[in-house]
Parts: sequence; structure tokens; C-alpha cells
Amino acid sequence: MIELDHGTEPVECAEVIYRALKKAWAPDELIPPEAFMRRVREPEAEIAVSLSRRKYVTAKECRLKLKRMRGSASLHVGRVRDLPLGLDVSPDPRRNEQGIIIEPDHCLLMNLPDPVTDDEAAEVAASQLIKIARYITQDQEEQEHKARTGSV
Amino acid sequence: MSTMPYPVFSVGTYQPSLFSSTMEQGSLPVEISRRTSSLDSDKVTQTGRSWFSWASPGTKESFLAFFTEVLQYNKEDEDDQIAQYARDAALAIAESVYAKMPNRWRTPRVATDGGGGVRLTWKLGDKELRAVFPADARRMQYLYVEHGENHSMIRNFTAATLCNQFEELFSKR
Repeated sequence: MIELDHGTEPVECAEVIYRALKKAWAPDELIPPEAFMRRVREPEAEIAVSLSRRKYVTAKECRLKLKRMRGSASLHVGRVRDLPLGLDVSPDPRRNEQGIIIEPDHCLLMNLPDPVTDDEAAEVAASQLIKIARYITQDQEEQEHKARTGSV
Repeated sequence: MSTMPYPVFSVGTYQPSLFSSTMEQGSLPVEISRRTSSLDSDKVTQTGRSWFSWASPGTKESFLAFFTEVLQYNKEDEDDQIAQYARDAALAIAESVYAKMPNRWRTPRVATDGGGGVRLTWKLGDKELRAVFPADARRMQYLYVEHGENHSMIRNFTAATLCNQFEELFSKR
């Protein structure tokens, strides 16, 4: 049961966040740059990148929220904020039509450069985030999910 | 950037017939049309599976597979489509590069920018090339080159420029 205000509290530096990944890169390079770039919606870009808070979901649940996601990456919020890019992570719980929070885990990676108006900065920021992100293997995903939910 | 003379196809509606005169081996369009393998398997993440054969030279088969992947990309995910303008631009550049230096060709990772643009990425060690072809013709295609902590941007790049970058990426390890 999700409590009414869950997901609205600020995202703490100690928290871990997940980013679902569409397609792996290679066995040793699994996080693609576009995972940390604002999606283009011509003629502009979305304002932020969607993430999930580990305090509410497992990596597996994060991945399964969307179609055709092949994996996920984890990031420490404090390390994201430590980058000299001015990035932040803000809570953005999703609600149903009645205004009830149904996805308390949803949060946003804010202040990423706009890939339409500043493509170079967007590429650089993506590279910086890849360096502090960790790919979650299938085994790690299953172990975490089993430990937290008791199911596979 | 590079001023090496090299034919670059104008960007427009993709026309397979454009490519036959420049290919070193056979007729690409016919071979591509005969390919029936599912691309789903190419996108499944499996630990230990090798996506790219960096250690071996580019092959005609790998180029055909790349070509097919781009052409069939839109059949996989209705929410993540490649726009025709971006597709044509990416394939024209890629074909020119392959025609010029088939042994240097390596299959890139193919992705979109979310808005119909195409992103082709090659990586070897700490070197990375990202060729980006926007869906909107008013925006310039660009090549983002990263080597360790350094990077550069080459806007409105040509096939010749990408050839030069391939030389850099695969010749000096």
C-alpha cells in the first residue's frame, strides 16, 4: 500500500537511483550515452530524464516499467550532484487520474544540457554520467529483487 | 577539418541505386532485400555476448547487417522511430565510408535521439565516435569525438571526415 505522500519528499544524496536502458552497448560497455541525454521532441527536447528511486523499486521493477528495456544502471544521487554540471534529482511521483500517487519511485534528472540547443554540452554531460553509473547485471538484478520482494 | 576530396551523397530520399556504382563488392540492395534474419536477437542483452568485432576487420556481412538494422529499425518499436531524413543521411555517409575503406568498417551501435534522429556510435578503449543525424534538416549533423578526458565536435561532417576519424580510432591503439 502506497502512502499518500510517498515519493514527494526530496531525493537525498545517499539515495540510489535507477535508469532503465534500452539497448546494451557491449559486454564491457553497457551504458549508452543517450541513456543520460534528454530525448529530442522536435523542435525541442524534453526537460529531464526519468529515473526511479531505489527506496521504492528494484532495478528489475524499474526496467519492467517500460517496454523493451534490456537492463538498468544505478547512480548515487550524491555523486550526480557532485559533478560540476549543476545536475540535480527531483522527486516526480506519478499520479493517476484521481491524483493518487501510483509511482512514488519516479524522479527526474534535472538541468541536463539541451541536446537541441547545446549538443556538445549534452554529449559531455552524458559521458560524465556514464563514468559514475554502474550497469546492473542480470544476476544482480535478480538477487536484489528476490531479497527485497521475496520473489523472482 | 578534413578537406580530403571525396564524393559525398547529397541527403534526400534514400535510393539504393545510388550505391551500386560505388560498392566494391556486389550489389548491396539486392543482398539486403534477401536478408530475412530477425533483428530482435541483435538487441538482446546477454552478458558475455560480443556485439562488435573490433578485433577483426570490417566485413561485407557486417556492413549489410548494419544497413539492414537501420532500414528495419522502425519495425521494432513504434515509439522509437527513425525519421526518413536522418536515416537517409546516416546511410549515405556510412555507405561512402564503407566504399572508401571497407577493411576499416566497424558496425556501430544504432540508436535514436528520441525524436527521429539517428545516433551511430563506435567505441574502442577510451576512444569514442558519436555520429548524430538529426531528424530536422535545419539542425546540423555532427560528430562527437572523445578520447579519454578530451573531446571535440565536428559539425556538418562529411564521409571523408568520418574516414579520417576511423583511421584515428582503429590505427592508433
